[in-house]
Amino acid sequence: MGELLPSKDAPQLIDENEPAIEKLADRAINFHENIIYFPVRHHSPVCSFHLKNVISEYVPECILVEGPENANALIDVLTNPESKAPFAIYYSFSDKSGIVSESCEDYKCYYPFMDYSPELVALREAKKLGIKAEFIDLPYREILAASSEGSGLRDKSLSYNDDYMIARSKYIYEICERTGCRNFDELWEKYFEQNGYYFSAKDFVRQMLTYCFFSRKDTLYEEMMADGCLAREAYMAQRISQAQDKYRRILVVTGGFHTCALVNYSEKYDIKFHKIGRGEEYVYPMAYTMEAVDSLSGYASGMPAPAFYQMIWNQIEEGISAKEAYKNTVLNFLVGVGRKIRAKGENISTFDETCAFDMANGLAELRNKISAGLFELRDCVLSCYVKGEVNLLESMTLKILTEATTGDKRGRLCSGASIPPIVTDFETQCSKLGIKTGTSLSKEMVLNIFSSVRHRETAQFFYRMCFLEVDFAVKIRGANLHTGRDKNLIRETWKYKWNAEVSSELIDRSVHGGTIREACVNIINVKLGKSNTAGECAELMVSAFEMGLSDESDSMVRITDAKITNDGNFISLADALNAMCRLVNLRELYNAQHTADLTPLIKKCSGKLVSLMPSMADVNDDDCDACSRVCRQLYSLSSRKILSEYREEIISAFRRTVKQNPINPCLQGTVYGLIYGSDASVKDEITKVCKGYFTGTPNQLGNGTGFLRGLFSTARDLVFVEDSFIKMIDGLLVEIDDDTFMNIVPELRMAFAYFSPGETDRIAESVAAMHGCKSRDITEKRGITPKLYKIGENIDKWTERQMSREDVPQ
Amino acid sequence: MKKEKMIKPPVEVSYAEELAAIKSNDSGRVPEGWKMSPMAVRTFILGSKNPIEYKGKSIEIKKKYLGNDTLVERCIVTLAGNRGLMLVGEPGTAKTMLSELLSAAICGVSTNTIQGTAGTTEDMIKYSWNYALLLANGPTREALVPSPLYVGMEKGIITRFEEITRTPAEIQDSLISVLSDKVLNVPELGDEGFLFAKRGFNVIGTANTRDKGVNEMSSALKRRFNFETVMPVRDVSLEKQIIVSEVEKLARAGGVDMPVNEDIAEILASTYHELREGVSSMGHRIDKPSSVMSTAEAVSVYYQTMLTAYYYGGEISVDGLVDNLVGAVTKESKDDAEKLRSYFNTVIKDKSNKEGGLWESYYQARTHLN
Repeated sequence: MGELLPSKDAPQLIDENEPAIEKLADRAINFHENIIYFPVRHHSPVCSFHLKNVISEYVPECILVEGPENANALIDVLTNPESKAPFAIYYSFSDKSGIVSESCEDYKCYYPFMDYSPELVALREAKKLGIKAEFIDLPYREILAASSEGSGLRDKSLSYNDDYMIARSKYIYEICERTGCRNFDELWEKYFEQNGYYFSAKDFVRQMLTYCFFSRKDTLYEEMMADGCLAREAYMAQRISQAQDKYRRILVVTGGFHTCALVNYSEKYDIKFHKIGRGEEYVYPMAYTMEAVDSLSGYASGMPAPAFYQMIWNQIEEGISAKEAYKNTVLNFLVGVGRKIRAKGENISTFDETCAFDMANGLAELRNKISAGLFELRDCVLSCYVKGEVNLLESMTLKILTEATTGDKRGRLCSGASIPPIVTDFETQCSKLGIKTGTSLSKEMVLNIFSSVRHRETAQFFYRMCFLEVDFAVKIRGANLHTGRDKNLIRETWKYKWNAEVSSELIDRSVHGGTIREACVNIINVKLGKSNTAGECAELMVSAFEMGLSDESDSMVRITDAKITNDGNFISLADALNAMCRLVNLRELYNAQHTADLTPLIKKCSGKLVSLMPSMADVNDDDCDACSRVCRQLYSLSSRKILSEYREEIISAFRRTVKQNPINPCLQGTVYGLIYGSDASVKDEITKVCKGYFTGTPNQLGNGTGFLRGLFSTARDLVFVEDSFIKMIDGLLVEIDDDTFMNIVPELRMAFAYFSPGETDRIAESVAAMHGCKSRDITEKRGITPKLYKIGENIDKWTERQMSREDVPQ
Repeated sequence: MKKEKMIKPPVEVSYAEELAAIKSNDSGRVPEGWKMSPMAVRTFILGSKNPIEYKGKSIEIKKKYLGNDTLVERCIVTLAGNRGLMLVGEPGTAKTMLSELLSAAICGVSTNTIQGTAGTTEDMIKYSWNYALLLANGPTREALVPSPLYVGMEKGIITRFEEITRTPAEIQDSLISVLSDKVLNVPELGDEGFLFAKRGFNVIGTANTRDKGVNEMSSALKRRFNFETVMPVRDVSLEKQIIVSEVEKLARAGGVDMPVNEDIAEILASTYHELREGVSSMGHRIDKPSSVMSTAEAVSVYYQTMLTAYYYGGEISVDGLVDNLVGAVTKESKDDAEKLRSYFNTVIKDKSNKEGGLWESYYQARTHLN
């Protein structure tokens, strides 16, 4: 569509040499014309206030609202009196045809509404007065297609109504600097949100358009093009023009940034949409939270602090003046926050609250505001409620304030609102598996996953919900297949709790598929594609196994195979091997059917590990455990059928590894132990290396204990086969001076920790025998006789008497 | 004493013309006891884009406090209210300067000050006696020697209490009744002994977070203050701007006719900023010295370097800067010298390789660190 849009060098919409802004405003709002363009900022109570007045005075035949037009069918749900804000329209698009990009990704975004959102006010008023109302923006997929990667809705932004264009330009920085406002939100509150109530609708529109005109002037053509902004405007202009053929009085409600362009739009474009398949694009209404509205505001999608501005709007609706409404709201929040801080044990008195309110009013006067607002509230809480320097208390105080101004209200949708198939699938599954969803009470289920098919399916369903990151079920007890913990448990205990949030979260995941299973499969495939290492792929296969997605294992094996080929990282390959071996065991244990054979993958992974092993000899201490684990695992697999043909190759790699210099002593010990397991003749070599460490320079002593630690982890029997090895160790330790010995004791203890208590006793006994005594002589001390104790007591008493004599200086 | 003879004239003297100009153009509401409106006080401290016409001259109001504007606004409003103002923060963050500016603008006097030390006693805060008169005439008002708190209450002006947390807690607590009831009782004077504070009186305290901190202050006293934490400057270019303007001021007052080299000021600002934050602009992690790396210290290092160049001839150089930097950074512990050396051997070395020019000379000057 880009080639159809106005070129960079096309004449400017507004000539700066004439009183352009006046003309713009006159064209935008003239009650005698057949069209009024009303500029808004999303989630702005003052815009809603004036918009409501304009609707009642102008009584349009049709109201056109900025918003993707594929949500037109939802207007009835949004304006139903049973539906309570905050709620949002959820748009999703699964780009299977590649109209957005070749990578064929999934996209989603939200269009949230508060009671005071001008767009919702317009829709509700239209319904009340029986006026036709429609969204007029491009459908979501077309907005995506018209945006460049990383811009507009293809940026990280998940909010449709993102008005960063008017909140971020250089013009804003300059104007904030000149007016002494710290940021755009303060500027907006002072000049528009507060003062705006005292303007006529026409003057307010003039102010808005002036501001947006300069913001637009300061925005690069390329930026607007990349954001899809120009394409959207072209389409909105087309829709307005079509409406003009049908209606005599039209009200157009769009973001101020677009209004500037739409008022003078004269070009006509024939815009054609891309063809997409069924089930690629969805739009649903969903209940929303104030918190979510505010977090989106963090990306400049509208006003911050929904609870604060909701309270202002409620009072404006009751006919209270803006000045009073702001004053009341600030006072209300000061008292509320004070109470919450007191509940946390901090000392905030009524006098503090009085001082804070005085200060808020004083600041408003100093800053020439009609009343204290959100920023004065924040300032006075900081000054009057925080006793001391910036510290934890301050962050706690500000956190309480932020939570209060954000609010925790949750919206509700009317009955009959359309439900996406994933939510229906959830309900079907729950009913089939006997999971109760009618109540929001927490329930517990104990599942015999080995004896009951239904229980196995229930566990798989819970795992799927966890994988989708929907806050519904949590496993309390049971085996952890990822870490290998609690493998002995044959039952799983789950706790689940249904609430309205679960439906919202499922709607959010509906972009990934029509059923819970399909969504999980799609997410796994995306994650497999994006994963960087073979280890991540193998863990995903374990997750898929948990969720009972074994039918998909062929494609997973193919992807994992490719990742193993490209992965050259020893640790990650080791993780992959570990996960795959676990999976093979699990399949046997769970008697899993229809699974792809993992043997070729395990062989391939082992082959790569064997060739990489010598290069890992000098691994650091942090990764040494992982390397040792891999060596042990390879050795153990080589004694099983799966890798028996590779045994020679593995032992040969071990032999090459121990000859490396430098080498981590602990790894060296581990690998020597494994070689000893298959060839006892290596014992002399082990003894030689060990002596080398203990008779070397002082720093090498520590390495000697590391070597023993590794050795004992894999070859404890070396000590018990004959006593020559323990004699050798004893001989080496005897030569070390006491101080050095004390330094290495902790490391030695760790090395001997691989032996069981009975084994250490045996070792101690044999060492004691070498020194001509019995173990009892070392472990048991002779007690003090009563006679000796009495003598000691007498000495104490005598000393005390002597010390308390007057002639002894104290 | 004439302004020219003073080493550091008080704010009300240095900026007498600006204060008079602002006052003559002040149309805001003036709180009782104040010399000007809160809006005018703000203009005096934070400056004005448009010059003010005064006695046929165009007076430019410069921004004097280069920090957080909203903090200044909160301070002004606090002083117009019921509570005292407590400025807390790291040393060298311009707390004292801000309290002087506020006092000079609000009541025209910035010198009514108590300097808090471990030896500060209650009579240094409230009042003491002229013992000759006391013995001759007994306890009379004439024999009473007012201390800054008494003066503030009597005249309706601001009393500044510097480094309040360095004074013992029981001495600090003598402020409690005065701040809450705004009355000071001198029992020796009997019925005549009640001094009721005039409107305009308030207290600005400053406390250093490096000393005992405000944690040991009694909660009763804390309740009588609004606290404002003054943060170190977070922006290197602003820090450079402060160094340049403060050094210019010092040079003017000291009769040193030498321009400030902005490039060297930038290097100094960057060094102080990075050592304070513990991370360089290129992302190196740096061991922070235990010494205070404040902007005020940086100003003093630059001024010292400037004086050396001025009196011993020649241009200001990075070698001189490094010489003075050593002394400033290694005050607290010997380890700081090593930290500074490592900073040069990593961060400055990389900057010298990447940017060359003055950074290279700065790196070469590391020989002065030994």
